[in-house]
Amino acid sequence: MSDPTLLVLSSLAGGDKHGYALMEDIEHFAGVRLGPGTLYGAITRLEERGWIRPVNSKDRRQPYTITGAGREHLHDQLANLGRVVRAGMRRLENA
Amino acid sequence: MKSLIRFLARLYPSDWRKRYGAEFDALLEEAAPSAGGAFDVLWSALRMQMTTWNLGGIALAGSVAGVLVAAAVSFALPPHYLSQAILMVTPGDESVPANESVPRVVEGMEQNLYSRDYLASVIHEHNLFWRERLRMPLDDVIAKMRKDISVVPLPRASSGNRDSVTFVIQFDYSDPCVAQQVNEELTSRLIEGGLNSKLATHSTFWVPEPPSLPLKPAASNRARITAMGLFAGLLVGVTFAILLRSRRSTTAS
Repeated sequence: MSDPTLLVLSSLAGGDKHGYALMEDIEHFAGVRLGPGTLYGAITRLEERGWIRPVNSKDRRQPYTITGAGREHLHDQLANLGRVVRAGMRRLENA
Repeated sequence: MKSLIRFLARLYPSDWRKRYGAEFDALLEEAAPSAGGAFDVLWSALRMQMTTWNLGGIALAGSVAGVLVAAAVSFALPPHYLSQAILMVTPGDESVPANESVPRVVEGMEQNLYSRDYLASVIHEHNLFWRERLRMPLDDVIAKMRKDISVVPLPRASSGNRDSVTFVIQFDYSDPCVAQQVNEELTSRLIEGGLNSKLATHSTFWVPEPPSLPLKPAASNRARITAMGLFAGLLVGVTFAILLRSRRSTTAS
């Protein structure tokens, strides 16, 4: 899984985070180091679609939280991915 | 590296910088700088810029990029020199009208000039196109040489004598001295071909202007290359803009 928007949503599903914390968390759970440009490209798209929103903060490092619609979208995407993973694994076992 | 990345971050669209600039700069300060990170910021900034442009803007940017690349290519091309000679042919057989005999004489001259064996011998004798010969078969090099030779008959009126035909013989090469030497051979070969023609038994061949030694490079095809770059850039820009528009509409729906 290398879609940056899914990685960001998955990370925020575990709690609110700012940019650098997102990069670290994604590298930790997915083994993928997103570049700053890629990360903020994903954040921009996710915010435009209403799947994440900024959280009030006095820090320059802006934290984000996942919205209800974002959670729903993430759930659908992961369910689809899960079906692909299970089908692939079954076929590998039967091969 | 950090200052380079900070500079690259300024390439984002100004509206985007207003919204995300401060937090993005905070992230850049915290993240370890790297060449990969710099490229990532540059690429993302360019993509972000393109999403804010309209079709005309992208097409314009493509055209400008095409012109710049083509102009750079045209300046990087090596100079070439054009040696030129003038040859006059006056048919001697008065029983055959000039408008019938001259084209047949010319045909014989050109066949003699452009023959594969002859051009191959000239290429080897003068060590022409040695770079091309390293990577191309000889037949392709000969085809290239044929393109660099030009034999153009001038209109009758300009020759002064209604019965004679005047030719401009040109050879284009990267070395001016070699261009002249080869053109001398080509001119002799043309005359030889004409003399061997049955119709030209009594014809007179005269070279009022022997092959010149070009002192300056010939005008390059810069204008043509740049125009091609403009066209290619425009085509790429419009195609990209259409793809981007269809992708945007797909995403929106």
